[in-house]
Amino acid sequence: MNDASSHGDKQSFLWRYVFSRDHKVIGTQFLFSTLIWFAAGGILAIALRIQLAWPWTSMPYFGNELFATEGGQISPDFYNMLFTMHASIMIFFVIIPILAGAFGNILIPLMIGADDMAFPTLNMLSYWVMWPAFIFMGLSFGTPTFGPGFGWTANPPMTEGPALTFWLLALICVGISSMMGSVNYLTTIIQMRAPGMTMFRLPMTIWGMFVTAILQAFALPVLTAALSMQLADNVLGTGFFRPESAASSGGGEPLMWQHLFWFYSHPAVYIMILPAMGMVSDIISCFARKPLFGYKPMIYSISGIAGLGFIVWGHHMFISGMNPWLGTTFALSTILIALPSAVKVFNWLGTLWNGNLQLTSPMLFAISFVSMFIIGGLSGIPIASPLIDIPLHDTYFIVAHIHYVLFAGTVMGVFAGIYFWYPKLFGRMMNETLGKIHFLLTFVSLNATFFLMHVLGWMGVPRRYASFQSLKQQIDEGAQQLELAASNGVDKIFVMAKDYDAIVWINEFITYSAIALGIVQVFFVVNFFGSLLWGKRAGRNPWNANTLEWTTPSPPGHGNFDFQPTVHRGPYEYSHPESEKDFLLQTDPPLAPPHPDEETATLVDPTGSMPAGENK
Amino acid sequence: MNRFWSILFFLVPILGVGVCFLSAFDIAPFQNTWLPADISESGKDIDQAFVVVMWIVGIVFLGTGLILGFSLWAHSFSIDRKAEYSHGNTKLEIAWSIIPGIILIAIFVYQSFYWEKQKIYNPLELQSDGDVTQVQPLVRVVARKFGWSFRYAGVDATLDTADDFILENELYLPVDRSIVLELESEDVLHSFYLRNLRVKQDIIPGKRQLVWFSIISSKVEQGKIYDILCAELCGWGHSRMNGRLYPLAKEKYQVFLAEQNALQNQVTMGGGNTP
Repeated sequence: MNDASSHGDKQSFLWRYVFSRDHKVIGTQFLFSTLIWFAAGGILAIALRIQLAWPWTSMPYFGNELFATEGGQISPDFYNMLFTMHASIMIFFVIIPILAGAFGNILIPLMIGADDMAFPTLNMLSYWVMWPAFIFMGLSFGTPTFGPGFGWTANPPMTEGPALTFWLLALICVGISSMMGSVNYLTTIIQMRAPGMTMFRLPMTIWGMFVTAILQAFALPVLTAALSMQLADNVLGTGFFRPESAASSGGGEPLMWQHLFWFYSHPAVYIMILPAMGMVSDIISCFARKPLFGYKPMIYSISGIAGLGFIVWGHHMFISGMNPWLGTTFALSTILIALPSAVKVFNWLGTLWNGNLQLTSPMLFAISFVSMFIIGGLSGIPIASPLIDIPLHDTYFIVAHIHYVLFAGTVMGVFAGIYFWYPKLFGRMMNETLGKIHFLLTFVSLNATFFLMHVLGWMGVPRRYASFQSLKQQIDEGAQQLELAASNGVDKIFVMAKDYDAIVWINEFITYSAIALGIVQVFFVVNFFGSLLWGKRAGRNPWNANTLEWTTPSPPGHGNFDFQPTVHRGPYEYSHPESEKDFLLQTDPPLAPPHPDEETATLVDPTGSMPAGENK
Repeated sequence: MNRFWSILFFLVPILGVGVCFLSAFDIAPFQNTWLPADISESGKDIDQAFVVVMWIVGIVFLGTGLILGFSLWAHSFSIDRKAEYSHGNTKLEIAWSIIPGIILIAIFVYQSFYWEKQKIYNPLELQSDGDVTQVQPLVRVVARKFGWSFRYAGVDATLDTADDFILENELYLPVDRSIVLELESEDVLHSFYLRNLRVKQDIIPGKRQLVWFSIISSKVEQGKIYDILCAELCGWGHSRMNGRLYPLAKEKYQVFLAEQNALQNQVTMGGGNTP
């Protein structure tokens, strides 16, 4: 136990809650920061949806403040900023830090039976480095274009200017934070497991975090290098990625940036989902009251996803001008990565089958993760083929795919995790009724928002268009010109014009759904903060789960465990036929110990302090 | 309440597959939402691959979704019973690794043939019956913020000669012959996107790309114009970077070239710059 945590009670408010080295406080700091950014990213998304449904009309709030002279009509640059910042914030400030920073920090020591992280000060720094990132990102909003408008992939040579500098600095800081986190997680998981906690007794959550930390440790240096190179291009006038042109004497190679960027950013997709997969596995097993189906195949498949994840980045570049032979090899690795993902889905279904299902709000969110990940995974198969990717690339099909994986998948997994571990973190239960209402409305509105994007995709509607009106105008103009010329006997029928009506109604429908999706999060906010004050007090183990964190008090004090946990079994011993209750804590003594005297003598029974009746 | 939630999860695959069907069969309100009309020679390969893969993923989607819904329907919580105590099943694991593995590899092999045909061979050398014919690019497409310049090879079918002429955003192409276009960018990344020909190619400044395709006259509806879009974010005017594609019968294309040639000479004389 380190000094900071053991003397925590004597410290002032500032040192206990702000510059804390306690993993739970740091995790909570990450949680609150990322949830605030989640709201900001959501507002940007709704703003860009309003533009897409009712293009060039007055934008509420944003528009009247910033574009008063244009009657509140936003500029096309501003639209580009909206989707760029939506993606940048959601990916780098929400999903990556909420999984690794918040859940990783809170859960890793608790679930492996450690009193804190291996390097508490480094851990504190990993949060505080996020603040320069927040500030740089905030500053980039203050640049003349109101922020970067080059898309979150920041493809040179389009990228330039002060907004780019701030954006790059922000991402470099996020990278440093992730790097410090991943070193810490790896060391902690390898070195600080409780006695008896072998690697193959770790819960899937920890396996997810472990593999994610490996991915971050190996992929991030490449991104950091690439970001620094682009920063040098922008600030120092070097020419890594800028080709020779009228505007630049570069001599660089834009494709090189794409390779380096996707070398990180594709593994980042798995960084953004593997921890959620782990959490969902634990939650499903707990509420199915059934051991996780295929624990080792699950571990092998996340390891397989991580390994293959390093050699699939080229599928973002099938039509980028990269050698098409490379497309063939990347197609093979990409199509094969569907296999471990499929194995995971089958194992989750196997866990649900013949379970004794308690459909609590965390369980509903976890099941919806599986249901939605099926869609997100399957829609990846057509675009894994470079051939089929030709028409689908850079259309709304890709937008649908990424949102089914990251919103309908990861974010639903995050909600499951929050509902599940909230009692452990804050000592109170969240309201079940509000939780179920939140689930139902989120589930319906997210599908209404994202499913029809697939349809827009196979119609061939390109993404990142500020509006589709100009298409129709151009088309009509072309037809008029032809009519005037009348030389080729062409009349004014136009293919895109025929599609145009569908584009309009689908976009309006999606926007209404997206606004609904934003509004129903009020149920979550009310529940989250209301339960802090009025939630039912939680015992140590309100869900009758097996893993180590449920043997600590809720919330756990500094140093986490009030006894030395010793692990006797894997994390999924639910409904054991030889046990009276339908769960067996990892610390419970063996059912039929081979040498009863040795085994039980040193044990403290953590379930002894639970309220009566909870052990059923 | 379990039943309610299971119905909710049943609805996911049913509505999902339903939307695909409505779109594919042009049923209200999803009229005109399936793949764009195809006027190319090789587009049918891509469309067919898409439909095959959609059938496979559709069946898997329906199957897994229904199993998920049924699990919730059939196994609701009861205090009186325990869940099945099972840690897995090796035979099942092997089966559901190998069968999807075979299907996935099959998809890969199947699409690879067409991918090769579409993108890999050298379009500037047409091979038939052992003879190699050199093919010249018909038009040089120059992308810039925010429009397309089309430099036509002209009557002599060779680029960078005196009879070349340039049209902005208007691409006239002959039908029923193989066409090679040269792509260049003047400033940033763009992507040359012909929805109806299943052509999409990013254009990198400083690098010359080729695309090739044929327009099949029987697929072109009389008097239709097709759109040319930019599919790679290039700045504020990205969504306005549209051009128009006019397929012309072979003879009409020759007439068009001759007309443009005459027009160009006229303009040159009018400008007083003729030697």
